[in-house]
Amino acid sequence: MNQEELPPELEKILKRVKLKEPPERLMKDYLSGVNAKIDRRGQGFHVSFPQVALACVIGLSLVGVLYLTFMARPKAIELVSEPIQKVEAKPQVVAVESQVQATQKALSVEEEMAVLEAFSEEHGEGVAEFFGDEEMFEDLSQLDEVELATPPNAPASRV
Amino acid sequence: MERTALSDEELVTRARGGNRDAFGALVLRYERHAILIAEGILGNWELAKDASQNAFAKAYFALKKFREDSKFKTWFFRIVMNEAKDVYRKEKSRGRFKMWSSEETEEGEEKSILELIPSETESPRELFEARELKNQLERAISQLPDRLRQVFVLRYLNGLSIREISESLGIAIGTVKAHLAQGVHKLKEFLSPVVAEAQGKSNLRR
Repeated sequence: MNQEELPPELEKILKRVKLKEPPERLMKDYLSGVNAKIDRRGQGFHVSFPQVALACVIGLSLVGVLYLTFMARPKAIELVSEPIQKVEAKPQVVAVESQVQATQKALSVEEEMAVLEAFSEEHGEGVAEFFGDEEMFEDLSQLDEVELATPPNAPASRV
Repeated sequence: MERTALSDEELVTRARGGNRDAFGALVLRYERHAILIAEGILGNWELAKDASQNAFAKAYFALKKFREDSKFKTWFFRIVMNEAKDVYRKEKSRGRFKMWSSEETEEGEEKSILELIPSETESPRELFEARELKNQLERAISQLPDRLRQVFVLRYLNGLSIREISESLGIAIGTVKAHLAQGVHKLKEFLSPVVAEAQGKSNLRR
């Protein structure tokens, strides 16, 4: 697009204006300013993106090394000079079982009978109802009594 | 330092060899142009001066990369524009200044970066109206999107050719033309009420 192709009203305005010339006070020391910038860039350490990136990489590496050296190290285990006392770590369940076994062994035949009688007295009706046939239950009880009653000539191992 | 009649190519060759005077001659040759280009992008003298000086310093160290087949002028203008655009982005994100403002500074100095070309045959009233139009134009340019404004200013206020703009901004000639057409269209829209009013006033006087 040439200036001739501009709309006439815009062309008219543009013909009347121009960019302001920079003030003399700005241009007076312009060249010396450029030379100063060249010298600064040439001699001094110029901080730009590569320098910032390098500084970041070095910083992160240092932090990593410090972390690995001090923070991520496993804690030293303290050595105990006193002799370690033996602790019985027998499971409690085993102890309970042995107690039950001991109790069971301790019961004599008479005691067992007493327990069974007490149970039948207390829950006899319930058990009969559970089985549903009172007569059969009585028969079973009698059979038990017959079996449990120790005949005078019975061998001791039967009990 | 005196201005020299040596060509750009000759000065560049000498400057590449470490001749600071030759580079100084290039600075003197392009300092006003550089500051005006930066000014067109930044709308602020101080920032434009700093950006253009930085561009010269960068160009000095980049001279080794400069290819002989391209023109120093467009190569250097590209550096100026990139530098000015960097400054513009930073300043804009900080919200430090208003772009292309026709307000006055605290010292009473007009911030405007456009000026009227004086006309001897103009009456005071016409001068007043022309000044108003100039302010309106400046406001309209400030409302253009960044890329359209840059291309428009480079073409119509800095006077660069379309090819020079294309090479300096690193965009295709067709894109430059499209941006110019869009910019002109938008400016016409902004300015049409103002222009109509000004024309009405002048018709009434006749």
